[in-house]
Amino acid sequence: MSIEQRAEEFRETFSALREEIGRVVVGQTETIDGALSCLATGGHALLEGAPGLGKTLLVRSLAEAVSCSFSRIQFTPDLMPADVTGTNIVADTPAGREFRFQPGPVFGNIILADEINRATPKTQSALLEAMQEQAVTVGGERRPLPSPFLVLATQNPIEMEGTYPLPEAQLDRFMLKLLVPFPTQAQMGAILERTTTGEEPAVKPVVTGERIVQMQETVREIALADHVRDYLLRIVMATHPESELAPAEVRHYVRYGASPRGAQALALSAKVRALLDGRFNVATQDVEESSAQALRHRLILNFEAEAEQISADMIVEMAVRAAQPDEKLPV
Amino acid sequence: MARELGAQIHRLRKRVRTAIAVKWAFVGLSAGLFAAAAGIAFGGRWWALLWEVSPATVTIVGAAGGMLAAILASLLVRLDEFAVCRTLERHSDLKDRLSSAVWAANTAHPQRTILARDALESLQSVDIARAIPLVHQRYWRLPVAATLVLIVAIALPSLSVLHSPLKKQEQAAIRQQGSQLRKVAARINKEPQADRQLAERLDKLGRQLQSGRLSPTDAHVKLNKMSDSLLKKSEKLAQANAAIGASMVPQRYAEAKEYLAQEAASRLRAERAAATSAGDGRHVKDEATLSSGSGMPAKGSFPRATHGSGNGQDIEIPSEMVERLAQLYGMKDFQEANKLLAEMRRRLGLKPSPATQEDVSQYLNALAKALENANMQQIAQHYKKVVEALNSMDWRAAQKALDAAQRAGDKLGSLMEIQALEMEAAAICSGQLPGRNEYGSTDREARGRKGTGNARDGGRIPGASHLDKDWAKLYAPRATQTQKVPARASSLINKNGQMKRVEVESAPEPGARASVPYYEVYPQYRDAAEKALSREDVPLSERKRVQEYFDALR
Repeated sequence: MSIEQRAEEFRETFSALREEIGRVVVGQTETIDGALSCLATGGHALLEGAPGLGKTLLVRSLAEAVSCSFSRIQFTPDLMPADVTGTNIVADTPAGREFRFQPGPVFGNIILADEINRATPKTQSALLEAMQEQAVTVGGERRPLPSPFLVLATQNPIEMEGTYPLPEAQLDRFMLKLLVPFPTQAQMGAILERTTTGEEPAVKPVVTGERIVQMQETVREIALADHVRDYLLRIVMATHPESELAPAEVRHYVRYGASPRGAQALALSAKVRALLDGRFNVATQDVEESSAQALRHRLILNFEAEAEQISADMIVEMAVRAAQPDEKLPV
Repeated sequence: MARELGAQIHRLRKRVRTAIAVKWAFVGLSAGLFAAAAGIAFGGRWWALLWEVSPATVTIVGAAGGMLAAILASLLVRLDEFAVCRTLERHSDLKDRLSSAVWAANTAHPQRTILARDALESLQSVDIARAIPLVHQRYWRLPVAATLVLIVAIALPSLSVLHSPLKKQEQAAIRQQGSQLRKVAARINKEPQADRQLAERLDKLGRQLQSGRLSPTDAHVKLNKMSDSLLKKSEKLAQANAAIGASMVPQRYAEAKEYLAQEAASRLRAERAAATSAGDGRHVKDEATLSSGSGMPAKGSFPRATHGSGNGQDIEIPSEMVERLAQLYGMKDFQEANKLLAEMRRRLGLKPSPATQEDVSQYLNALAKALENANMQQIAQHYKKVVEALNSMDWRAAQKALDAAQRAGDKLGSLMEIQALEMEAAAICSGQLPGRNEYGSTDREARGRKGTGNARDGGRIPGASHLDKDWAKLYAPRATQTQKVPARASSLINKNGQMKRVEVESAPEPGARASVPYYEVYPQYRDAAEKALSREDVPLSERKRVQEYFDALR
């Protein structure tokens, strides 16, 4: 199958998923596209939004739209790592008692880590290996996770009491951080319409796990030209206060910039956008549009930024401006 | 596919090059116009060379130069295919398709064919003329602004409403002076011996004055400078002329003729006595000159020596002709003298008799001596040659020498004419501007000068000699104890030749006498008295007395 056909299939599948999720989730198109991008690239997404905005519904709908296994882990302070990864248990077998591995909920294709910041860092860290290496090690034995594997974590930015903010290392594992906006009045009307009258719409599976893996391969075939790659890297470098490319605001407000994983996430996210736009090349616009989602959770701002209410998105925007290529001809 | 892509990019490159050239041409044009405007506006002071040609020339040269420089610069811009692609992408919805295709083609990317096809297909939907237009509407803004600035620079100084009647009068006078100077310069230029540099300077100054872009002060300074320079030159020439003493030629001629006549008579007598004592029977004729009976020739007439009967024609060149020639030289009328010389040359061409030749030779010898005595050696030496030629009966050589004398006369006449024109130019330059005194200050400025009173009828009043004296005493340039070079209180000329206005308000120098004319002071006192009288603290009964006191002062 040619790349053109695969690209066409990619767009069709993506549209089908989007449409299917859209039957349940009202609005939130950017969040849905972000989550689907993660699905299509093998990355993980962190959804942040106030309670009741449909984060869980979105993830559940996405899982239902893909015919593969789905696990939901409700993160609570007393959740233990073994509750996530699974553990060895003593089981009675005809051969006698023996230890047998009982897989945890992480052994699924799509994992919903609901309210991830309510679990202790120890438990949160249980996901580190799974997210990065798509495997877990229990009892000294490394066990691969099924493919595709997608972690969609949610967190509530308002209720900070009794929460454990995700450590930087954990955050860095998420390909995109998606902000779930409050719906508009029209969207709320639609939500009411769907949820308070008659039967709630149900999501049907429209794509298989294999298809998702194919999509992930297709994304990686999209060309990233040198000048676009340089631009992408300049953006990432511009988020580092010690970099020459960093604008004054970054030097002033940022403690630590985006990691190389940020560049990877940005490139993959931009490639998905290019594919969806019917192109076989990544454009600088794709990079710019993806930069906030891919970099915002990777920046560690200092106290001054917090005091002056400077957000990570603002810093990313400044970095994008600072990284603009100086290649304009006088026309 | 790659070839097609290359061809498209080549076309695109040409388009971008042209667009850059056009854009820079607009910028260059604007820069040229701005430069021209600046040159015209400030040319009088900083870039005099610029505006000494006409504003139109400055504008055309500036605009054309700017455009040309910009177009040439645009040709130097490096246009690689990638930059060209990025330019089009910035102005269209290609979204890096073209640049990525170029990149893929250069790096043998596996998707290069697809990328090239995608880029070419997308390129078809792009209106390149619209994406990279040769002329943007906004390009016109700069030239329009520059043109407006230029118009303001040209027109503003001439706007009538911006000038007072006095200034307008001054400017009209300056223009007139400029016109006169240019006429004189043209006349000087016609003279063969003209000092071309001087004529050029006069013409240049005339143009500056005529242009109306010179402030009255600057005009005055320039005219003063030119006048000084001409006067210095004319002084030198006058000294040389004084040495020449052309007016003395007729008198010197009469004296020389008398002297030569006596010398000839005595020589004749000596020859006769020698012949008589030798008894050789030689006979010396003294028909005419010794016929007075006194044994002496008639005054101013030459004794004629014995010659055979004339072989040639007896063509008359009377002594009156030579005398007239001497008179014409005395009057410096070289034109008339030349006519006379032409006639003389014609008569010599008919080969006159030896007697005539002898007479003419003697008269011309007297003229040569007269010219020599009047320090007109250049002409005199030619007459000497004439005399020599006549003595040797070489008519042709005599004619040539007369020609040379004529040319020398022409030259001298031309020099004198030039001198006269230079004097005329100096007179024009030193001519008073209306409302401006000989010191370069206006009467109004003089009246407003601090420390001299505020007379309503004060200042310099032309024609009032005593006022002129007062004026000169107070305001004329003079050396002071601290300032050894003569200077004036206001309108000082700095070393750049520009007026530097200084209002002096200070006590007189120690030892210097400060006096203010009565007519300048009185109105002040009168005003003060009237004010004092109108105040209520002067008793009514006393007011009349005070009034009478001041009237009495008057």
